[in-house]
Amino acid sequence: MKTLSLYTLVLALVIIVSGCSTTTTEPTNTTPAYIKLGTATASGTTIELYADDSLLSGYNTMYVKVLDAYSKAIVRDAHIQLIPIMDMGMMKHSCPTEQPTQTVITGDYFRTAAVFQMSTTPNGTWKIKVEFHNHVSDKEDEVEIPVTVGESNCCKPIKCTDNNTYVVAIANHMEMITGVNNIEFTVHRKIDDMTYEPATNISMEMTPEMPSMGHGSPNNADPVHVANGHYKGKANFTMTGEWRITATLKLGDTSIGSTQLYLTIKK
Amino acid sequence: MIAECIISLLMTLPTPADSAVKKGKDSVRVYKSNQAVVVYGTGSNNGNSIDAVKQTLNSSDDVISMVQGVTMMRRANFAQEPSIRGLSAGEICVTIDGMKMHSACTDRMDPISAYVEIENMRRLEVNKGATDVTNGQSVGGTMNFVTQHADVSTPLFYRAEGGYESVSNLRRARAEANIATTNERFAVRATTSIKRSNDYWAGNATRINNSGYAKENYLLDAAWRINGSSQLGAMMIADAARNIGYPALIMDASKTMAYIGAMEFKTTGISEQISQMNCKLYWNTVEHTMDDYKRSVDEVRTRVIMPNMYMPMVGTSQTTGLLANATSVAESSLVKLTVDMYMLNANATMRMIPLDNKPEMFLHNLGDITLTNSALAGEYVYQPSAVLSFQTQARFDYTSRFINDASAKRTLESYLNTTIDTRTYFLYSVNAAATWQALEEVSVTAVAARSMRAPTHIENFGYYLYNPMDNSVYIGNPFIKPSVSYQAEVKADYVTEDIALSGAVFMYTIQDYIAGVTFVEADTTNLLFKQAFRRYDNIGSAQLLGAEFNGTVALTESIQARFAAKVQSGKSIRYNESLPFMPPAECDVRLSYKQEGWWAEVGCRFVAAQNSISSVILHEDATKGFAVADMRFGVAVLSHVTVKAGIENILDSLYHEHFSINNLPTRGRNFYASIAYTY
Repeated sequence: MKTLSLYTLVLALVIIVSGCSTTTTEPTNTTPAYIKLGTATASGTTIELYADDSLLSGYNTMYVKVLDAYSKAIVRDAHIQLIPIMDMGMMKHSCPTEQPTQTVITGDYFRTAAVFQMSTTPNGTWKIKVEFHNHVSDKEDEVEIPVTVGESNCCKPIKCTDNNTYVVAIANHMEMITGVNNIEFTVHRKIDDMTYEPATNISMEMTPEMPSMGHGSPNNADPVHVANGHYKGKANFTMTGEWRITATLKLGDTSIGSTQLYLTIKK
Repeated sequence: MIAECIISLLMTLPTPADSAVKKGKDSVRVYKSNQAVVVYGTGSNNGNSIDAVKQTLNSSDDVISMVQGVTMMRRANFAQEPSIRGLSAGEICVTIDGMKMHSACTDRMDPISAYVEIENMRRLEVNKGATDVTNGQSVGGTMNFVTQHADVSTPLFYRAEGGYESVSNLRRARAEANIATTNERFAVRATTSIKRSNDYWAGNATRINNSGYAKENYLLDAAWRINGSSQLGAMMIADAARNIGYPALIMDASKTMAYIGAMEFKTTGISEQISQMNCKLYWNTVEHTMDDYKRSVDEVRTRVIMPNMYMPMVGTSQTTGLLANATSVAESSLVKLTVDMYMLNANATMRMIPLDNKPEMFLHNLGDITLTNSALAGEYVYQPSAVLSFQTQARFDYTSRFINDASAKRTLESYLNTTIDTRTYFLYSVNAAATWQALEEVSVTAVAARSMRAPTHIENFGYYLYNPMDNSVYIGNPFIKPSVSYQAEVKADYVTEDIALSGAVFMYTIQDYIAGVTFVEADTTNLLFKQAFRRYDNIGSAQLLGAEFNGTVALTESIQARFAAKVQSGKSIRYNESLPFMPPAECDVRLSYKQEGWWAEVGCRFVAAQNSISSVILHEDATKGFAVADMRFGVAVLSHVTVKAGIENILDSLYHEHFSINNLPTRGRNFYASIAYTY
């Protein structure tokens, strides 16, 4: 009888503990782990700007969350346009961008991208002007969110022999690891200081090398255009460390210019 | 079976197999059994016991190099790497008490032979070619260090020795002790060896900078005689070496640590069918660290490969295994079965640290490789009459290997542009030998053997391995086929009371010989990276031909003359050139005088020039011939005290062996002396 009581007690404890653990389970947080770059409010609409990581010169994906300033409800029906502005005092310029392709979203964020061709310096700061039309409240306005852009060597403008300036960037440089990678470049043609368009009619050659070692790597594939100024190829990084990628732009068979981009493979 | 060894007794346990040991008066033509090891002729040390060899020589390397057909590849004044008839590394199988052990260094700085000091060497078994596959399948041969174990029948023994060698200011001290209980049930044996060496001097008073080292070796062995027929033993070796300069290489070994552990159960007389059974569990590990931190900045900046950066490398290997055998002895036959299983884990990494604050680089030379091997070997000896005996062996191995590290696997796959899955090999070897005692003094042995060798894990999965011999970077190849060797050998012995002569001729044909093949030519215009890239691959057939002769003549009761001569050639059929590291013709002649209480020996080694060299497989250069003489003596000054001394390279000749990496010169004139107390 004493044994039976002990078993009953243990069983009861198990049930209680199990029950407790069930009731204390936290709901899964599905919010993406974005970094908040800044927030601003105008005309009853709050604009929050996010990115995957700290901004670096080159290609950066950013995410815009639109909220009703009073109820904090997420607005999923809006028209958004980002205009990055580099303010250097005497002059201002923008950079290539990719605007949201949808005005109605099912998630919480409007996806966008910018190709910062330079980093924040003591003489030049970046801010993101966000023009919006909140279709829920039917109000239009704009906000400016200052951002800091760190240094990287994954983006450079090239003044080419066809009298155009192209901005070349490795779009997915943060994803590069040892071995063969699907590498993605963006190439934009500069129309003027504030306007850029995707370059869709060029071809690219790409050569990865390790400057410290003096060797390259086998089994690379030159990038080819896929859409909207994006070029995809294969880059083989045979070890970690700093790699130099020489990107050559061609029109037909004619080379019109080349640049060298650098990235550090960490794993 | 053709075997080379320095003879001593094999076992401490008396077994019924005693009756099967067929030992002629020459003590040379004896089949291997569970009681004695058989040897068909030895080198210039022919007829010497291991104790006599220990009395004469100073190190394990000295002992190994005395075996005819064995040469030592020199990279430093430390731990030379043995090769058998010019074949080395993955072409031969080196074991300690049958236990598999693998170098941790991808540059072969840490040969297994470094871990058995001379005081722990009970016997050295060297089998040339595919003539004995008990300890492993190989095309080049096997070398097994049989260690001295605790002896329950020796109540108390100890020995201490101190020595000095002038050529490198080497100071060494050794001590060994064996203690057993009076009931002969328990025994413990312990040894220690300490060495400190400065830079060595080659001939003509040429100092070889950066060639010193420090080394310690410890052994602890215990034996428990459970009953009259069973014994349990345990052994542990710890070996630590530091600050080893490698003047022939671009880096030095700052630290090498090795631990070897084993437990063995032996029993005899289990049944009428099974005379003896051994079972051993073992484990060993090696950690090898090499770097170039002690090289001058100028040297690093102007180095031929990867200048302007330090590149420390760390290699580790762990091997765990089971080795079991059972022997059945009948009146005229012997059957032995061996189960040999082991698993290797090997990892090697290299950091590349630029001197100019550029980002550090890193790669896996070996990406956490796991290799498993399971083997079953069988041996049958049949002696139908006193003048005729036959022996045959067979061995089957199944081995698999794969890369565990995801990054290493990815980079090698990317380099080779292929997917690398688990690689497996099935290997089998067979051999047969017949000995005919044609006359009382003359015996003839014929051997035919077929053996395979799987690629090593380095040949399969190595990545960015620099070879200074051809200034190339090697990449592994998971798809190499095993090499297959066919060997024929004939040997004749003539033995009388005062004369023992032996001669052998051999021929190997090795199919799918494994070597480096250039797939990216060197770019001499590239100031930073002038190296070619080579991939291990099968390069068709290779042939070895050779002959070995040795003999001992007792001129008087006290004076003995010995000689050993050999000549061989090796050729790649595809490239129509010599295989690399083929030993030149050589002859060793010695005269020894032995009296009660003292002995003396004088010898000279004549080595011909080697002009048959490899230029495609490896970028060798020709080696000049040389002659080098030595003189040794020993004397018992007191009842327990002996002194030995000698001069090596008496004429202080400046020369290098053909197997010397980057033509590193051999040691110059060396005066050595040691004093030992034995109880």
